[in-house]
Amino acid sequence: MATKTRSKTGSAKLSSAGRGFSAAKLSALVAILKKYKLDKDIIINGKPQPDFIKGRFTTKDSAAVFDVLRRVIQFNGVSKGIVILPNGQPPVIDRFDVEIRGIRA
Amino acid sequence: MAAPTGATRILQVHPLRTCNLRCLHCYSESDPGQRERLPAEVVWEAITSAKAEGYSVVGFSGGEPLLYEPLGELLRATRGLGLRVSVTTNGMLLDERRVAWLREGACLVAISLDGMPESHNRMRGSPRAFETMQDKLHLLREAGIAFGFIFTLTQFNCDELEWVAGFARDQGAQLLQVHALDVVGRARDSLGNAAPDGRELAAAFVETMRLQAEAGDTMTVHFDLLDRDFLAENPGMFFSTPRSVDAAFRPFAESISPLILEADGTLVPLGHGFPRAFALGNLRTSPFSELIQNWRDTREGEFRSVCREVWQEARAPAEWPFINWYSEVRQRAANWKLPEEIGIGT
Repeated sequence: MATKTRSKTGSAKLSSAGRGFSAAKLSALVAILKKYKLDKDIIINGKPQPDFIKGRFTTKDSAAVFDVLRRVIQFNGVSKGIVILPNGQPPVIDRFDVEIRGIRA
Repeated sequence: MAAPTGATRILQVHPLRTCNLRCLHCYSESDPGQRERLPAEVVWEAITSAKAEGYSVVGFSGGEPLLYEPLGELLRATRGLGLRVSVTTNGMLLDERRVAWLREGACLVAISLDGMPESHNRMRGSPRAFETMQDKLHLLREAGIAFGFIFTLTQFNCDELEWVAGFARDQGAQLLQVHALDVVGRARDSLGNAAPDGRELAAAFVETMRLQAEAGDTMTVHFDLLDRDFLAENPGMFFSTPRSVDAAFRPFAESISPLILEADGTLVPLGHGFPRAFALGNLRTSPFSELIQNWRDTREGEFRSVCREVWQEARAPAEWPFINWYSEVRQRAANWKLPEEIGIGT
């Protein structure tokens, strides 16, 4: 069965609503976001290793420890575009209970 | 060794093709008239065997899995094995009895949501699909069951992502997963020109990053999209390296993830409907251990060659930095000539 598709693409409709970008701007944004993602990830030996987190984290205070842990958990979990899944397969949300001795939030 | 699914090793189970809906984009071509379904004992054999072979997550899909009567018992037993479980549903058939199944067994319920109500109903082929699903969500919230939404991105709907994210957040979802349409199954006839191109993927990527920043820690926004650079740097994660010498002694989950059990009993790699030349075989006629041993001996090398070619092509300069890896591997596998087909090794 053939269906009639709308003529405007989703990105064109975003542009019409003032929320879209030209192809050139989009390309630049993607490059920036890619760099931003890598900068925010935990980098080991110069490359992100999605299945393997090992290292020593030095932070200024206890609050920053939790920030690092949050990023590690996200990185080893379901986000960042690294885990890719086939049709209909959702990521499973992990639940973590973390205890850090000697530091009280 | 890694896999496209990261640290998790996934068995995806499609126990039936019966569904209360007939969606335009259904990759398994399920609908109310389909009668194909697996005996519970076959599903259970797959789950226990998969657990022994290193799989850690079982995803139930369909068809509509809430129409599969043994689901509750299977969910409970699967959780009892220590495996994590997800169930993908259209959400329309949620009731107290089925929510009780999910409460005992599911770590996450994923509900299909294809855009604003009008778009959702059009894609689902039902004028009441959205309203009925929305009316049932309180059952999940009241039962304390974690749930999320899966959005199928087409060439025409990335402008609806913002609305979808707002709806998901308002409903208390923990996840919004964005998945690019694969033109397989029923979509071949009904949505042949609707797969998002590079520009639409880029626009959706920017949108999902923005929406994730807005959602903060309240909801994960996940985009099933692979960065070409990441693929290029990690061939082992995408089965693009030769089989290791000790592969036969390692868990099978390191050879394929996700592994798919279809409603006719066929086991295939990566995705529902993957080309049959690469299937492991049928679990209704042969035991799991025999199927995986035979696949290792006769197909794993070819499968890795397919993935290797996709990896090599993905390293070439391209306009956009993304790749729909599953779709690329599937297409190449469909056109692949196996050694016996070209007279080698026969």
